Amino acid sequence: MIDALLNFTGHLHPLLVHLPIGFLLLALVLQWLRARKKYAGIVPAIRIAYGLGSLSAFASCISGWLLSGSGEYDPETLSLHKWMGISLAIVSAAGFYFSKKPEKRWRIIIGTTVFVLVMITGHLGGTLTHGEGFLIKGIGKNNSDSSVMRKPIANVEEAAAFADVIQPLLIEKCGNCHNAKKQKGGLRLDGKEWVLKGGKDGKIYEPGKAEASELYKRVILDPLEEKHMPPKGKPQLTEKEILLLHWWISEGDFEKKVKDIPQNPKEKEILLALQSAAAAQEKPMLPEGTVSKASASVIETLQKAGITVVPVSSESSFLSVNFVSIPKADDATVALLSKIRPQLVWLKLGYANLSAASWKLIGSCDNLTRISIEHTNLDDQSLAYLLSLQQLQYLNLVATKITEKGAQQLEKLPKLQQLYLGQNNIASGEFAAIQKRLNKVKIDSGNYHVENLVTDTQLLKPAPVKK
Amino acid sequence: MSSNKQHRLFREAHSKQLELETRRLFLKECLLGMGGLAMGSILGGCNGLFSGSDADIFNAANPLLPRAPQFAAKAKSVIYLHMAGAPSQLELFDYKPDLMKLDGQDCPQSLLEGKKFAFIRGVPKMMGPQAVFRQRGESGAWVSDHLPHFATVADEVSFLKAVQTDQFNHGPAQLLMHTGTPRLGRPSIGSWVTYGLGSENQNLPGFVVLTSGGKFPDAGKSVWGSGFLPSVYQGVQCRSEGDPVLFIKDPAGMDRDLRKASIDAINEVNQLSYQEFHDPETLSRISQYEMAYRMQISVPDVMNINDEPAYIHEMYGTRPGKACFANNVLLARKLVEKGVRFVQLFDWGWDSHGTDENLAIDYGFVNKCRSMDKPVTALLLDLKQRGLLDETLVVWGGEFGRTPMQENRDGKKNPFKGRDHHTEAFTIWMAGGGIKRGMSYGETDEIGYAAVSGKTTAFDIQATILNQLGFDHEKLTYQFQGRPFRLTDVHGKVINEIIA
Repeated sequence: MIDALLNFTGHLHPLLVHLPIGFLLLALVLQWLRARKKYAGIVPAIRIAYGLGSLSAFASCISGWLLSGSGEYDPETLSLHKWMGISLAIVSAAGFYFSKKPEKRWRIIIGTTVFVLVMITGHLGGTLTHGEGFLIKGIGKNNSDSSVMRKPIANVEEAAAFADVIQPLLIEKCGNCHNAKKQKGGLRLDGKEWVLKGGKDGKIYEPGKAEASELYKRVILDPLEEKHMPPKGKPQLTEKEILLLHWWISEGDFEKKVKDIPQNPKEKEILLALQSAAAAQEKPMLPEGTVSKASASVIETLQKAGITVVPVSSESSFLSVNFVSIPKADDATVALLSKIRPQLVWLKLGYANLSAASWKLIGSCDNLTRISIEHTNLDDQSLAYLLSLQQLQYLNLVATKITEKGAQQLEKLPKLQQLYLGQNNIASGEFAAIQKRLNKVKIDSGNYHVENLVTDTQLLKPAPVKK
Repeated sequence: MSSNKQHRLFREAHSKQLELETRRLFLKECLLGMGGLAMGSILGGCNGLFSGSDADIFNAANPLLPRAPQFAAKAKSVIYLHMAGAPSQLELFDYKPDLMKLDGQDCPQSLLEGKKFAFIRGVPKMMGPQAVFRQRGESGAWVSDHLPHFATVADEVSFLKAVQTDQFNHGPAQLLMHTGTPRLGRPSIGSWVTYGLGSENQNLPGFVVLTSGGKFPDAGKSVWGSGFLPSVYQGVQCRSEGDPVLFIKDPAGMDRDLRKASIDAINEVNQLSYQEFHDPETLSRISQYEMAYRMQISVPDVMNINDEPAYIHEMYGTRPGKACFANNVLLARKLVEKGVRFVQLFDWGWDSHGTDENLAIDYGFVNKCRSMDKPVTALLLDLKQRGLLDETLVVWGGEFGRTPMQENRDGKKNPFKGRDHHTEAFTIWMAGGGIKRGMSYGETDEIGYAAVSGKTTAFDIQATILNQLGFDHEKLTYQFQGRPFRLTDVHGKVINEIIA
């Protein structure tokens, strides 16, 4: 009974704290007005405001102390908030005492202190309930940083069921209130040991029994129920995430890999989607590492020459270059690429007639991952310049002057995945040998045809109706 | 006393009158207004601190300058093949042998209750598939014999078999597909893409539209309009017969030098106007004049299919000099090769109601399939052999599907076999541009009436297209009427299941 009463008083804290804020700020306003002749009789009102402010501040301190016992808050912030609150109560009591004294200096010092303390204590209180940085959340452009980015899963079957699939989900959807700094209900969900430990009401995880695990039960509870998690208004688990949670609790444990846990077709589909969703986030055909940004003046020089130069994404310093706006690119324009050698990753330079120097320059752009040089004068000899490109994954050599021998050299490109060799001096019989040599590369020999069918040009008509 | 009062009133009125002419009052009155204006600019107006979105990326001086996407993308361009009128999924990709068993029987009440159709009234008869189906390629995708060529490349595409819409009339449904709303006035997907990415080729527009089939889409030019986006982003409609763009040639007697001189003179005047007023729209106008001048050469060049080799013409089944779908498909490939971002093809004539021979599912529809099959197959293979399929997203589809029931317009039997408009399930396919090969996502029930699993909408398709081009569809926004707008409004989910 006493416990319940104390608890209740504690819960009044969020209500009570607003009283001292209001009273004390009013006292400050009145005190400021006091200097004017018109308001000479205001002193008793200041006393009342200070008095009520001080009393309610003490009441807030007590209720706050009772609430802090629940242990759901970050202890560091809490302690600071507590001492600031106590100081405020004491200083405002002093304000009450000095309000009738004639010394103006004290009144100003106390007034300023009260103002500062109200602001700091109030903000700390807000931080405790709404989380760090709540004041500036959603302002400016960096609000996306607060959301947790899921680690991409390259191969979901090989991933650890808890660490790679379930843990990120718990952190994303539950982590705001159950983390190292804040433990609502005494529960943390940011690690295996905490999930096993449970909250203040006991265990939340029953291996193999999803329906008996509080971790699952709370999630599938009617959202209107008070015990439903995450609480109303917070981002909820999606249908698929709930299914995953059920799958993991009933079939898995903390150590197993995804492939070692039986999956029904529906679960398999959701797990696979995790993989493709992650794959979609992966950066397509970019070299590892980062480079410094190319200077704006260099990019401008290239653009003035008619070359299309764009970063591969708004955040990246890697550049994609396309000569499509220039009808016939020549050695002089290509030479401009020497200024962006480290940044250049994707190059489109079709229909050009270039000298060895240009091919050499392209071969020295170490970070190139994609090159399209179709319909150029490239031959086996100039192709040799490109063999040092360690990052190259895509190479389009359609309608150049490559022979089988030249194509064989491409085995020296360690990362090559896609190779386009159509319309070259390569006989159709020679592709098998090239493919054998470059066994990991997807080679397209082109020369596709679409058969001519009689029906292609025939119009189907109904038989004429006899009258 | 009273005269004194009158005197005071008069004096007050007089001084008020005078005040209006004083500098002091003017400054005082202006102060609040100025403060308000200053506040507005401190807070950054609609695009600032409190708008919650990135500022617009519109660059008035050069609106078509190529820009980087939000994240590194797999696709660089899109070819959207819209079969206007809505082709029947039940005769092409969605094989329903059980529907054959119901052929000719009355449609069960359960399928009609509470439903509205465009033309079906009373109780229609069920109609089985009017085509022979086979499984094709390694993926085992069902493709009917109406598409013998496409059947050979079925492994290249991802089918979406449970696409849904809520519009059963052509105009609104086409608008929904391309602008994200069934009503007029929103920018089309091609406009959004050009707004986001600019044009790769500085001598060509970023968004080109080609139509065939003898009629424009029912929704009119709004399906490629720019809505509230700056109008430089609207689709440029090119004709495949005559001049590709009207009035692109210089008038008789005017040579290229004179044209250049006149444009230079106009730009000089505009430049003076810019120096005086600093209106960025003036810069935009200058760059548009310059681009138009360059396009006079580059557009006729790229729109000319005559210099393509004979085997390419044979592959696509083109008919040079005529306006036809095959020519447009070949043009689409040429445009994408030249760096055009978004090529939109509309081919009219797929509205197979069965009201006449051309709209009969067993005659006109088959002929439409024949005219589409070869060029589309050639497009996929041609892009592939040029190494362009990886970076070109090809989308094929209509604005809705067709009913498993035979249409009975106004309750009477139609002269030919046909199907009515159907919103609950239809098929769209995508290929290239980072989409999985040989995938089929979504299922319909035994008779192809309703979507059962893997349901998708126009918004999901739009979100997926933007995703492949490097945009989060929720973050590609434009500030209009006080709020950020986006293509998918409040809907749309990227279809991760078909992304490679």
